[in-house]
Amino acid sequence: MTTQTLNSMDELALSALKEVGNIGAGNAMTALATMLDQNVDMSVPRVGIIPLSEFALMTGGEETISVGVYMPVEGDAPGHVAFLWPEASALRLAEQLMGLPLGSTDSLDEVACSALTEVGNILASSYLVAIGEMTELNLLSCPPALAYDMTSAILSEVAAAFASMEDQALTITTHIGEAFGAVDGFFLYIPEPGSLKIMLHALQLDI
Amino acid sequence: MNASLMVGMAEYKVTRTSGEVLVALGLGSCIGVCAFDPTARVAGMAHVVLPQSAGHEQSPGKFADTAIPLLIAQMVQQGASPARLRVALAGGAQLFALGGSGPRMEIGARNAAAVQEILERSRIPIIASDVGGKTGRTVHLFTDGRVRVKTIGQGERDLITL
Repeated sequence: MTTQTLNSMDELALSALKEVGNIGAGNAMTALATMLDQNVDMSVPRVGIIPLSEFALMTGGEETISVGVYMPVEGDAPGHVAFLWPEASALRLAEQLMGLPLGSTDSLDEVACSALTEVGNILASSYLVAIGEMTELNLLSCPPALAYDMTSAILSEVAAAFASMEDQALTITTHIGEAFGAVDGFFLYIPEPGSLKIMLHALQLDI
Repeated sequence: MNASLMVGMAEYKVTRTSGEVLVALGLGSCIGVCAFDPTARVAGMAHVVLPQSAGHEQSPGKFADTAIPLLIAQMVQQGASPARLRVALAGGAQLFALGGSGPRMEIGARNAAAVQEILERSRIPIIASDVGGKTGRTVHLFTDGRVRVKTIGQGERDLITL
Protein backbone atom coordinates (compact mmCIF):
# COMPACT_ATOMS: atom_id res chain seq x y z
CA MET A 1 0.00 0.00 0.00
CA THR A 2 2.72 2.37 1.00
CA THR A 3 4.45 3.11 -2.29
CA GLN A 4 1.05 3.38 -3.88
CA THR A 5 -0.02 5.90 -1.26
CA LEU A 6 2.93 8.08 -2.16
CA ASN A 7 2.29 7.92 -5.88
CA SER A 8 -1.44 8.53 -5.66
CA MET A 9 -1.11 11.73 -3.67
CA ASP A 10 -2.77 14.64 -5.34
CA GLU A 11 -1.88 18.31 -5.42
CA LEU A 12 -4.14 19.08 -2.49
CA ALA A 13 -2.46 16.49 -0.28
CA LEU A 14 0.99 17.72 -1.29
CA SER A 15 0.13 21.31 -0.53
CA ALA A 16 -1.30 20.24 2.82
CA LEU A 17 2.00 18.53 3.62
CA LYS A 18 3.87 21.62 2.51
CA GLU A 19 1.78 23.55 5.00
CA VAL A 20 2.60 20.98 7.69
CA GLY A 21 6.28 21.56 6.97
CA ASN A 22 5.75 25.31 6.97
CA ILE A 23 4.03 25.39 10.35
CA GLY A 24 6.57 23.03 11.90
CA ALA A 25 9.60 24.85 10.55
CA GLY A 26 8.09 28.23 11.44
CA ASN A 27 7.82 27.21 15.06
CA ALA A 28 11.32 25.73 15.07
CA MET A 29 12.77 28.87 13.53
CA THR A 30 11.12 30.99 16.20
CA ALA A 31 12.83 28.81 18.79
CA LEU A 32 16.19 29.19 17.02
CA ALA A 33 15.76 32.96 16.69
CA THR A 34 15.06 33.20 20.42
CA MET A 35 18.12 31.11 21.23
CA LEU A 36 20.37 33.24 19.02
CA ASP A 37 18.55 36.51 19.64
CA GLN A 38 18.59 37.10 15.87
CA ASN A 39 16.24 36.96 12.94
CA VAL A 40 16.13 33.64 11.14
CA ASP A 41 14.72 33.08 7.66
CA MET A 42 13.35 29.95 6.11
CA SER A 43 12.36 28.84 2.62
CA VAL A 44 9.00 27.46 1.57
CA PRO A 45 9.31 23.74 2.28
CA ARG A 46 9.96 21.39 -0.59
CA VAL A 47 7.88 18.25 -0.58
CA GLY A 48 9.26 15.44 -2.67
CA ILE A 49 9.29 11.71 -3.06
CA ILE A 50 12.93 10.73 -3.10
CA PRO A 51 14.16 7.31 -4.22
CA LEU A 52 16.63 5.61 -1.95
CA SER A 53 19.37 5.68 -4.60
CA GLU A 54 19.24 9.48 -4.69
CA PHE A 55 18.71 10.17 -1.02
CA ALA A 56 22.34 10.67 -0.18
CA LEU A 57 22.60 13.35 -2.87
CA MET A 58 19.48 15.32 -2.02
CA THR A 59 21.15 18.40 -0.59
CA GLY A 60 23.74 18.44 -3.34
CA GLY A 61 26.65 18.37 -0.92
CA GLU A 62 28.03 15.00 -1.82
CA GLU A 63 31.43 15.06 -0.20
CA THR A 64 31.13 18.22 1.83
CA ILE A 65 31.26 17.91 5.61
CA SER A 66 28.14 18.45 7.67
CA VAL A 67 26.80 18.02 11.14
CA GLY A 68 23.60 16.02 11.33
CA VAL A 69 21.26 15.61 14.27
CA TYR A 70 18.76 12.79 13.93
CA MET A 71 15.71 11.88 15.99
CA PRO A 72 13.18 9.15 15.46
CA VAL A 73 9.59 10.34 15.90
CA GLU A 74 7.16 8.18 17.84
CA GLY A 75 3.53 8.53 18.84
CA ASP A 76 0.44 8.61 16.62
CA ALA A 77 2.37 9.11 13.38
CA PRO A 78 5.94 7.70 13.49
CA GLY A 79 8.66 9.12 11.30
CA HIS A 80 12.09 10.74 11.31
CA VAL A 81 13.40 14.25 11.86
CA ALA A 82 16.91 15.36 10.97
CA PHE A 83 18.83 18.62 10.77
CA LEU A 84 21.80 19.11 8.58
CA TRP A 85 24.25 21.99 8.90
CA PRO A 86 27.25 22.39 6.62
CA GLU A 87 30.39 22.39 8.77
CA ALA A 88 31.00 26.16 8.55
CA SER A 89 27.43 26.90 9.65
CA ALA A 90 27.63 24.41 12.49
CA LEU A 91 30.82 26.11 13.72
CA ARG A 92 29.22 29.57 13.61
CA LEU A 93 26.09 28.28 15.33
CA ALA A 94 28.12 26.63 18.09
CA GLU A 95 30.19 29.81 18.55
CA GLN A 96 27.05 31.90 18.94
CA LEU A 97 25.60 29.44 21.43
CA MET A 98 28.75 29.39 23.52
CA GLY A 99 29.33 33.14 23.35
CA LEU A 100 32.60 32.85 21.40
CA PRO A 101 33.67 35.37 18.74
CA LEU A 102 32.41 34.39 15.27
CA GLY A 103 35.09 32.60 13.29
CA SER A 104 37.20 31.74 16.32
CA THR A 105 36.94 27.95 15.99
CA ASP A 106 37.70 25.60 13.11
CA SER A 107 36.54 22.27 14.48
CA LEU A 108 33.82 21.06 16.79
CA ASP A 109 34.81 19.69 20.16
CA GLU A 110 32.67 17.57 22.44
CA VAL A 111 31.07 20.56 24.14
CA ALA A 112 30.14 22.13 20.80
CA CYS A 113 28.69 18.83 19.56
CA SER A 114 26.66 18.47 22.69
CA ALA A 115 25.35 22.04 22.32
CA LEU A 116 24.35 21.33 18.71
CA THR A 117 22.64 18.09 19.74
CA GLU A 118 20.60 20.08 22.22
CA VAL A 119 19.71 22.68 19.59
CA GLY A 120 18.54 19.85 17.36
CA ASN A 121 16.44 18.52 20.19
CA ILE A 122 14.78 21.87 20.87
CA LEU A 123 14.12 22.56 17.19
CA ALA A 124 12.70 19.10 16.58
CA SER A 125 10.39 19.39 19.56
CA SER A 126 9.15 22.81 18.40
CA TYR A 127 8.61 21.40 14.91
CA LEU A 128 6.63 18.44 16.18
CA VAL A 129 4.59 20.44 18.69
CA ALA A 130 3.40 22.72 15.89
CA ILE A 131 2.48 19.79 13.66
CA GLY A 132 0.82 18.08 16.62
CA GLU A 133 -1.36 21.12 17.29
CA MET A 134 -2.31 21.43 13.65
CA THR A 135 -3.25 17.76 13.27
CA GLU A 136 -4.25 17.01 16.86
CA LEU A 137 -1.85 14.09 16.77
CA ASN A 138 0.55 13.17 19.51
CA LEU A 139 4.11 13.24 18.13
CA LEU A 140 7.15 12.63 20.32
CA SER A 141 10.80 12.94 19.41
CA CYS A 142 13.21 10.37 20.84
CA PRO A 143 16.63 11.41 22.21
CA PRO A 144 18.84 12.91 19.48
CA ALA A 145 22.09 11.54 18.07
CA LEU A 146 24.75 13.57 16.28
CA ALA A 147 27.03 12.78 13.37
CA TYR A 148 29.91 14.96 12.10
CA ASP A 149 31.05 13.60 8.74
CA MET A 150 30.47 13.53 4.96
CA THR A 151 27.04 14.94 4.09
CA SER A 152 26.11 12.01 1.88
CA ALA A 153 27.18 9.48 4.53
CA ILE A 154 24.99 11.20 7.13
CA LEU A 155 22.00 11.27 4.79
CA SER A 156 22.47 7.65 3.79
CA GLU A 157 22.54 6.57 7.42
CA VAL A 158 19.28 8.47 8.00
CA ALA A 159 17.86 6.71 4.94
CA ALA A 160 18.87 3.32 6.34
CA ALA A 161 16.36 4.00 9.11
CA PHE A 162 13.41 3.73 6.75
CA ALA A 163 14.97 1.56 4.06
CA SER A 164 13.82 -1.77 5.46
CA MET A 165 10.28 -1.02 4.39
CA GLU A 166 10.57 1.47 1.59
CA ASP A 167 12.49 2.18 -1.58
CA GLN A 168 11.53 5.83 -1.51
CA ALA A 169 10.44 8.36 1.05
CA LEU A 170 8.32 11.45 1.13
CA THR A 171 10.60 14.13 2.47
CA ILE A 172 9.66 17.60 3.59
CA THR A 173 12.76 19.77 3.36
CA THR A 174 13.09 23.33 4.63
CA HIS A 175 16.11 25.46 4.08
CA ILE A 176 16.92 27.67 7.07
CA GLY A 177 19.21 30.64 7.33
CA GLU A 178 19.70 33.90 9.10
CA ALA A 179 20.37 37.46 8.13
CA PHE A 180 24.17 37.19 8.23
CA GLY A 181 24.29 33.91 6.37
CA ALA A 182 26.17 32.38 9.26
CA VAL A 183 23.66 29.68 9.98
CA ASP A 184 22.50 27.88 6.92
CA GLY A 185 21.05 24.42 7.09
CA PHE A 186 18.41 21.92 6.16
CA PHE A 187 15.54 20.52 8.12
CA LEU A 188 14.22 17.14 6.98
CA TYR A 189 10.97 15.59 8.06
CA ILE A 190 10.21 12.09 6.85
CA PRO A 191 6.86 10.73 8.00
CA GLU A 192 6.52 6.98 7.58
CA PRO A 193 4.12 6.11 4.74
CA GLY A 194 1.51 4.78 7.19
CA SER A 195 1.81 8.05 9.08
CA LEU A 196 1.14 10.08 5.94
CA LYS A 197 -2.31 8.58 5.75
CA ILE A 198 -2.95 9.29 9.42
CA MET A 199 -1.74 12.85 9.04
CA LEU A 200 -3.78 13.58 5.93
CA HIS A 201 -6.80 12.00 7.58
CA ALA A 202 -6.30 14.28 10.59
CA LEU A 203 -6.31 17.20 8.13
CA GLN A 204 -9.53 15.81 6.63
CA LEU A 205 -7.84 14.97 3.38
CA ASP A 206 -8.36 11.28 2.87
CA ILE A 207 -6.43 9.60 0.13
CA MET B 1 40.46 11.12 -16.63
CA ASN B 2 38.36 8.22 -15.39
CA ALA B 3 34.62 8.14 -16.07
CA SER B 4 32.75 7.60 -12.82
CA LEU B 5 29.86 5.17 -12.59
CA MET B 6 27.91 6.12 -9.48
CA VAL B 7 26.58 3.20 -7.49
CA GLY B 8 23.76 4.67 -5.38
CA MET B 9 22.15 3.10 -2.35
CA ALA B 10 20.63 -0.30 -3.20
CA GLU B 11 22.25 -0.37 -6.64
CA TYR B 12 24.88 -2.70 -8.11
CA LYS B 13 26.88 -2.12 -11.27
CA VAL B 14 29.43 -4.02 -13.32
CA THR B 15 31.98 -2.77 -15.84
CA ARG B 16 34.86 -4.10 -17.91
CA THR B 17 35.45 -0.87 -19.77
CA SER B 18 38.98 0.33 -19.20
CA GLY B 19 39.09 3.82 -17.68
CA GLU B 20 35.76 3.54 -15.91
CA VAL B 21 35.58 3.65 -12.15
CA LEU B 22 32.79 2.44 -9.88
CA VAL B 23 32.04 4.84 -7.02
CA ALA B 24 29.92 4.55 -3.89
CA LEU B 25 29.75 8.00 -2.32
CA GLY B 26 29.40 8.59 1.38
CA LEU B 27 28.96 5.14 2.83
CA GLY B 28 27.73 5.36 6.41
CA SER B 29 26.27 2.13 7.73
CA CYS B 30 26.02 0.88 4.13
CA ILE B 31 28.72 -1.36 2.66
CA GLY B 32 30.44 -1.01 -0.68
CA VAL B 33 31.18 -4.55 -1.87
CA CYS B 34 33.98 -4.32 -4.48
CA ALA B 35 34.48 -7.50 -6.52
CA PHE B 36 37.11 -8.08 -9.21
CA ASP B 37 38.21 -10.85 -11.54
CA PRO B 38 41.87 -10.02 -12.31
CA THR B 39 42.03 -12.37 -15.30
CA ALA B 40 38.85 -11.29 -17.08
CA ARG B 41 39.24 -7.72 -15.76
CA VAL B 42 35.62 -7.46 -14.74
CA ALA B 43 34.83 -5.09 -11.87
CA GLY B 44 31.59 -4.98 -9.90
CA MET B 45 30.29 -3.03 -6.97
CA ALA B 46 27.18 -3.38 -4.78
CA HIS B 47 25.98 -0.66 -2.39
CA VAL B 48 24.33 -2.75 0.32
CA VAL B 49 22.00 -0.96 2.74
CA LEU B 50 20.65 -3.70 5.01
CA PRO B 51 21.66 -7.24 5.96
CA GLN B 52 18.60 -9.43 5.28
CA SER B 53 15.84 -9.26 2.69
CA ALA B 54 13.56 -11.41 4.90
CA GLY B 55 11.19 -12.17 2.05
CA HIS B 56 11.16 -8.68 0.45
CA GLU B 57 11.18 -9.09 -3.30
CA GLN B 58 11.41 -5.46 -4.31
CA SER B 59 14.83 -3.89 -4.83
CA PRO B 60 17.05 -6.91 -4.19
CA GLY B 61 20.10 -4.65 -4.49
CA LYS B 62 19.32 -3.25 -1.06
CA PHE B 63 20.03 -6.37 0.97
CA ALA B 64 23.30 -8.27 1.44
CA ASP B 65 21.71 -11.69 0.94
CA THR B 66 20.11 -10.79 -2.39
CA ALA B 67 22.50 -8.15 -3.78
CA ILE B 68 25.70 -10.22 -3.65
CA PRO B 69 24.39 -13.21 -5.68
CA LEU B 70 23.00 -10.76 -8.26
CA LEU B 71 26.29 -8.90 -8.46
CA ILE B 72 28.19 -12.16 -8.98
CA ALA B 73 25.70 -13.32 -11.63
CA GLN B 74 26.07 -10.09 -13.57
CA MET B 75 29.85 -10.29 -13.38
CA VAL B 76 29.77 -13.88 -14.67
CA GLN B 77 27.58 -12.70 -17.52
CA GLN B 78 30.34 -10.25 -18.46
CA GLY B 79 32.95 -12.98 -18.46
CA ALA B 80 34.09 -13.26 -14.83
CA SER B 81 34.56 -16.61 -13.11
CA PRO B 82 33.24 -16.95 -9.53
CA ALA B 83 36.36 -18.95 -8.62
CA ARG B 84 38.61 -16.01 -9.56
CA LEU B 85 36.65 -13.29 -7.80
CA ARG B 86 38.39 -11.29 -5.11
CA VAL B 87 36.56 -8.87 -2.85
CA ALA B 88 37.29 -5.76 -0.80
CA LEU B 89 34.79 -4.18 1.59
CA ALA B 90 34.35 -0.61 2.81
CA GLY B 91 31.70 0.99 5.03
CA GLY B 92 29.62 -0.48 7.85
CA ALA B 93 30.27 2.43 10.21
CA GLN B 94 28.03 4.00 12.78
CA LEU B 95 28.09 7.76 12.31
CA PHE B 96 25.37 8.63 14.77
CA ALA B 97 27.35 7.53 17.76
CA LEU B 98 27.10 10.47 20.12
CA GLY B 99 24.11 10.97 22.35
CA GLY B 100 20.87 9.07 22.12
CA SER B 101 19.27 6.69 19.73
CA GLY B 102 20.81 6.75 16.26
CA PRO B 103 19.01 5.34 13.28
CA ARG B 104 18.91 1.58 13.74
CA MET B 105 21.85 1.10 16.04
CA GLU B 106 24.44 -1.44 15.02
CA ILE B 107 23.16 -1.63 11.46
CA GLY B 108 26.69 -1.16 10.12
CA ALA B 109 28.07 -4.09 12.12
CA ARG B 110 25.14 -6.27 11.13
CA ASN B 111 25.67 -5.36 7.48
CA ALA B 112 29.35 -6.30 7.71
CA ALA B 113 28.58 -9.64 9.34
CA ALA B 114 25.95 -10.50 6.74
CA VAL B 115 28.20 -9.59 3.79
CA GLN B 116 31.08 -11.64 5.22
CA GLU B 117 28.86 -14.65 5.80
CA ILE B 118 27.41 -14.62 2.29
CA LEU B 119 30.85 -14.28 0.68
CA GLU B 120 32.20 -17.09 2.83
CA ARG B 121 29.32 -19.31 1.81
CA SER B 122 30.02 -18.50 -1.85
CA ARG B 123 33.75 -19.23 -1.25
CA ILE B 124 34.80 -15.79 -2.41
CA PRO B 125 37.81 -14.46 -0.50
CA ILE B 126 37.74 -11.03 1.16
CA ILE B 127 41.23 -9.70 0.45
CA ALA B 128 40.92 -6.44 2.32
CA SER B 129 38.33 -4.62 4.35
CA ASP B 130 37.96 -1.20 5.85
CA VAL B 131 34.75 -1.56 7.85
CA GLY B 132 33.28 -0.39 11.16
CA GLY B 133 34.27 2.64 13.18
CA LYS B 134 32.48 5.97 13.27
CA THR B 135 33.46 7.57 9.98
CA GLY B 136 31.84 7.74 6.58
CA ARG B 137 33.73 6.48 3.53
CA THR B 138 33.70 6.92 -0.21
CA VAL B 139 35.02 3.92 -2.14
CA HIS B 140 36.34 3.73 -5.71
CA LEU B 141 36.97 0.52 -7.67
CA PHE B 142 39.04 0.95 -10.85
CA THR B 143 39.04 -1.51 -13.75
CA ASP B 144 42.62 -2.47 -12.92
CA GLY B 145 41.39 -3.78 -9.55
CA ARG B 146 42.60 -0.84 -7.51
CA VAL B 147 40.42 0.05 -4.50
CA ARG B 148 40.65 3.55 -3.05
CA VAL B 149 38.96 4.64 0.15
CA LYS B 150 38.38 8.23 1.20
CA THR B 151 37.49 9.36 4.70
CA ILE B 152 37.20 12.86 6.12
CA GLY B 153 39.91 12.40 8.74
CA GLN B 154 42.48 10.48 6.73
CA GLY B 155 41.97 11.70 3.17
CA GLU B 156 42.24 9.32 0.25
CA ARG B 157 44.33 6.15 0.26
CA ASP B 158 44.73 2.94 -1.73
CA LEU B 159 43.24 0.07 0.24
CA ILE B 160 44.46 -2.70 -2.05
CA THR B 161 44.74 -3.84 -5.66
CA LEU B 162 42.47 -6.86 -6.10
